Amino acid sequence: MRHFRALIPYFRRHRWFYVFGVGALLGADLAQLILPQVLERFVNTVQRAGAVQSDLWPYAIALLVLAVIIFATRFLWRNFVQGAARLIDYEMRQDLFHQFTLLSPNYFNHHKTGDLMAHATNDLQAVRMALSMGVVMIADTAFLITSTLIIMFSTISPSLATFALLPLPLAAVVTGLLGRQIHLRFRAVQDQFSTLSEHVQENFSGIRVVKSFVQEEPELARLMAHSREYFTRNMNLVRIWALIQPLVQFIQGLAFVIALVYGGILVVRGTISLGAFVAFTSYLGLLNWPMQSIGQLVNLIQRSGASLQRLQDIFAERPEITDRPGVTPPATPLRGALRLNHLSFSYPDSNRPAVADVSVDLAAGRTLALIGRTGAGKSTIINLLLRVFDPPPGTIFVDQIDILDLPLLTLRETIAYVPPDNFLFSESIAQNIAFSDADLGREIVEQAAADAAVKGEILQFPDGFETLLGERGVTLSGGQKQRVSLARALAKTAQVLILDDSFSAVDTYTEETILRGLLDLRQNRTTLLVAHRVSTIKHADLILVLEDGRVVESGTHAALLDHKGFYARLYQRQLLEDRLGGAPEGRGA
Amino acid sequence: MIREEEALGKAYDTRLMRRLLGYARPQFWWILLALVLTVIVTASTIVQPYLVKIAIDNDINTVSLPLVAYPIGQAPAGLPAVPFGGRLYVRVKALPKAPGSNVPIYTILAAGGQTAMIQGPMPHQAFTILPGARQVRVGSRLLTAVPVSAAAMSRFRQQDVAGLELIGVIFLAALLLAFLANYLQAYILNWVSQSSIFAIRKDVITKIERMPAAFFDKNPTGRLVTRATNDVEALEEMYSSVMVNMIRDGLLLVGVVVIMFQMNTYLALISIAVLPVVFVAANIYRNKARTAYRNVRLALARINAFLAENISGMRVVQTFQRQQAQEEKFRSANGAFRDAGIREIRLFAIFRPFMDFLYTGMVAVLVWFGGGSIIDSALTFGVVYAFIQYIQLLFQPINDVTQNYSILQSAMAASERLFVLLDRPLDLVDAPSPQALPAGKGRVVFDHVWFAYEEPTWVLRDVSFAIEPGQTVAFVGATGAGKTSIMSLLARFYDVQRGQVLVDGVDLRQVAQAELRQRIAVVHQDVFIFAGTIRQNIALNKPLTDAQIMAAAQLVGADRFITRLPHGYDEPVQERGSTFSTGQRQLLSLARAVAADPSILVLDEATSNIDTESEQQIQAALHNLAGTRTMIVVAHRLSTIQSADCIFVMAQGQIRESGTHQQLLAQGGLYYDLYRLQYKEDYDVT
Repeated sequence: MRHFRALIPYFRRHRWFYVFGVGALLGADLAQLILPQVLERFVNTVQRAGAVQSDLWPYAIALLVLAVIIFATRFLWRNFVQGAARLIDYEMRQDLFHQFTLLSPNYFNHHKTGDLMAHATNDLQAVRMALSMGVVMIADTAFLITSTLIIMFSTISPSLATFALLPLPLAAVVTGLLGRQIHLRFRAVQDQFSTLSEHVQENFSGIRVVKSFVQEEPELARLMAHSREYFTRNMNLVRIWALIQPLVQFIQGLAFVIALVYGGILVVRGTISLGAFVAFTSYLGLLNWPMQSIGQLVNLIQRSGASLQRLQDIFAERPEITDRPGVTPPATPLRGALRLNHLSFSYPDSNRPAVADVSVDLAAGRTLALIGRTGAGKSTIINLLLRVFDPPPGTIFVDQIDILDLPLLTLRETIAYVPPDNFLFSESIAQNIAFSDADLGREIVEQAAADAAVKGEILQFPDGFETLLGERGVTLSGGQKQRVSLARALAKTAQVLILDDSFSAVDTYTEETILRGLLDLRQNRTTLLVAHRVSTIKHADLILVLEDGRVVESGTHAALLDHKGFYARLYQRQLLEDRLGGAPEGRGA
Repeated sequence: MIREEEALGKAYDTRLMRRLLGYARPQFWWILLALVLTVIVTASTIVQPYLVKIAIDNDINTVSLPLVAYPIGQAPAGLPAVPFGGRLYVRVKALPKAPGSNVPIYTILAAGGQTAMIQGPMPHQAFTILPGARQVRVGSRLLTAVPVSAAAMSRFRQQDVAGLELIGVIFLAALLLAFLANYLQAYILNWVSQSSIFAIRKDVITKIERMPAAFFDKNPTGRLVTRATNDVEALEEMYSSVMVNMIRDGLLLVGVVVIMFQMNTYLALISIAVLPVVFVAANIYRNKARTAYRNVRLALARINAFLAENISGMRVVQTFQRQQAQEEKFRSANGAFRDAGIREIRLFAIFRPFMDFLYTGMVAVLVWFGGGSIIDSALTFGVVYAFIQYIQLLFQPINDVTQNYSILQSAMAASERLFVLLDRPLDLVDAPSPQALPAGKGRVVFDHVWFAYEEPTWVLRDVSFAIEPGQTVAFVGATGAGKTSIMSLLARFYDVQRGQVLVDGVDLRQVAQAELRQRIAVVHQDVFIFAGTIRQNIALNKPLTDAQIMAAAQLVGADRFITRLPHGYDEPVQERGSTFSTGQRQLLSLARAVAADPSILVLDEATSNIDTESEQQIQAALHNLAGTRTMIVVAHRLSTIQSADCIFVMAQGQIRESGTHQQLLAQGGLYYDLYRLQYKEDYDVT
């Protein structure tokens, strides 16, 4: 229950919605409680000898007025309470997204996108249900049950009320007892559903092996066994679950039979009037819904409590990467000189250093290249420089300022970055290139595209720069994506440009063209190149060859070739590979 | 390609519905039984207000019913006769035929806690019983009365109490019957529902399982899993509730209207006058609700898409410092979802309370007209009471319709996606009368083969070669040169665009896929372990003896690690074989391939990700196997293949060089360069 405390600020913001909403709800309940009273008086009037039809109009009018009141109050509470729940749902989802933007990439590495999405939709929906129907059920159930009981006992007949209500607690007991079993069996169904999903997933991803060993039939039989088990568990659940509603109805019916027989006898004996009998059965009818909803309410509160806890866990997550307290932007804009000072770093879940004792000093405006095998530590250095992970203090400096002493905003504004996965958004190409600043002029966007050697291809699309990407638009080839991602970085005015393996899907000729252009473009600006291919980096002012996180060779292209070490061999090998000609965008590997 | 997007078509589509119902057909008799039970439940629902009506009119509200008097001993036999004041009183209603007009009528009056009997019918005006109950004042007249003591009253009402008790028993029986029928019906319908979705799921999974490899290239696994799991699940409620609910609601509607007319035509006509209003309102609501529902779903889909993208691209957002900008964009998607939700709430907030308004309004109308009829003695009170109850039942189907509607809507959307999948042609099917492969050779020929996953990006260009039975050949070349494509074509995962692939002289397109794949065993790069035991993983449902299984494992050198396991060959393995090392898994999959005893064994980069020790084992295994069958090896470590009978060097989808290791080295071409480089790489690196 304590999880619900988190909702208090949201509640408070919309308290008037709830005050009016619950007020209207109680108004509707009140109208419902008055209705049997009107009926009672109506019945007693028509029963009276000598009554004439004109005696009835007050009752008809009263009922019509009640009808209008019920309509108006129900309209109002639905709008107020459910509307407020929607508003809170919206605010919480916005807050959740805000929280996502604060969390470090490391968090996203450890949490599946699908799960995080489920929090923002399914969990919030469960909370929204608690905020709307939950609130309504609590108010409604409490008010209707107590007031109905009071009226039954005090104004009609305590003995009739006692006998007629006798079976109702049974409904609560039975649903409570069955509820546990249902819960267990429901869990079993869900578990089997997951198992089935996993096996189906497993089978579909291994389909080539399944097919090449002609295992389709045995595999299908296996999947069907899981499906059959799912069927069995569902029926196991149904066996009790299907009992609840008929049973509750039966118990309510039982209460009604008692009211009918015993109440009828009381009328026969003259203890109560026929009108009171009618009113009593109406009140009994009013109890049906609250009785049925108690079970639902408990279920709802449990589910939304669990959802709320999951949401709380995310909100409680502290961002790992934040500005140090009191950091201020430097007085003059950064020029882009880089210094790594004995940089060593291990990832949080590993004890092997990803980068070990790397030092380099790069004047502003120069080009540095990092080369080495996968896992050699190239991308780690970039991640540290971007503060995707925080480096140890005193190891990375921009313009002689420890990057930990710079505001994140300043640091990242200074850097334009081309990520290795070339992640693009499902927006127009122009919007993607102008990602760093939505107000960038069209000329800048087009120039960036031209510099990235992708403008021609963009203009080939029917909608040119307005072409939508992603599910609802076109799918770019790997090379095109890479170059749009490059254009996005080039469109950003930044002192430091980082290209993290940005030419892997681009053929050598295009790469050469882009790089030559960049040389002119990047004069006086610092550039960092990460590459597998020597061709990408041979013009760099300084090349670091990394192996297992350490710098094993460094120097210019020419110097490294003379050295005849790892770099020289790599160069030889790549020259040969070019001759063997693996198609860069081909598939079938 | 099957699109994930929520395609919200019609809520009801006859064609889809017919197919969906087709899956329930095997349960026809069960459905029929459920329908019979539904009739029972509905009848019980309808009969309950009627029982109350009888109780009110015959037992509860009977104090002033007209009586006739008989001398003691002369009352008609078998009728409830009450002795009072030396005579027997029988209710007129109980008589087989109405008494003549000359027969005196007696009436008991009750007022102000006194009871008195007068001669004559119930007065039409207000009356008072004077103290002592010997006189009753009706208007200005004074009637002579006989006081009826409490004891006498209870004698008069004895039959009513008995009647009430009888009705109570009948009511209870109806409840009990309804309870049983209700439960059985729910159980049967769920059984029908689960059976139907089991059948659909079976079809869906079977269909996907039979689709060719190209289908899996184009459709992400996650999407296919959704088809087989969640989409099928979305049909559950359609079968378990909508199918019969609609019939029940129809029955209820008809039943209530019939019984209303049976009780009183006048009130029945007044009552059903509200129905057109209800239907019109429900129709307007349905149309608007559909749009509102669709808008909510679309807004939700947009939120999901935005989240999926921004969560996986959060790094880019953060490195470009665009958190606020993305938050603003999310605000608009989130706001659209909120607004769509609020519009849906508003719509529902009008519809449902409007139905409540109509109901209460109808009660007012019944109070006016029905009350008037009671006063005119044209109606009994019980009838009016029953009408008020029936009006309520009349509204129940209307309220159900809205719920059924949304269930139908999502079921239709899901079934649309499922049937699109089920109706897809298989693309790559066996020839109508496939040719049998000649027994046990293993000659492979590629004859001017052109192949593209998607034209015009040719992956293989005019590739021709022949492999003789028993030969060991190897393919080398850079990534993307087309080596794996050759293996895929050989197992007929794809069909060639031009040229042909022949095994033992038969074009693969003429061979049954199952037969072909029994001839060819492929050891893939990514090893797939089936859940089960080691033994099962090697035998793969073939009737192999233990000796055969162990021989296969020994041949490839897998027995060494297997025998060290706690349960040996019966060691259970996890899905994906996560408890074993890559090398062990590869040995296992190699043993499996050998145990299948194929005439052609294909190793596709089977030695790529393993340590040197395992590689040496596999190499030894290959050495053992050489000559016994045709072997085709794809490897990028040249050391694996030096003893091959022929090596094909591939580049850009073509075979550039071929020959034995020595021949190719002597040639001094691509292979020579490759070898020199790798030799250095493997042995020279400091």
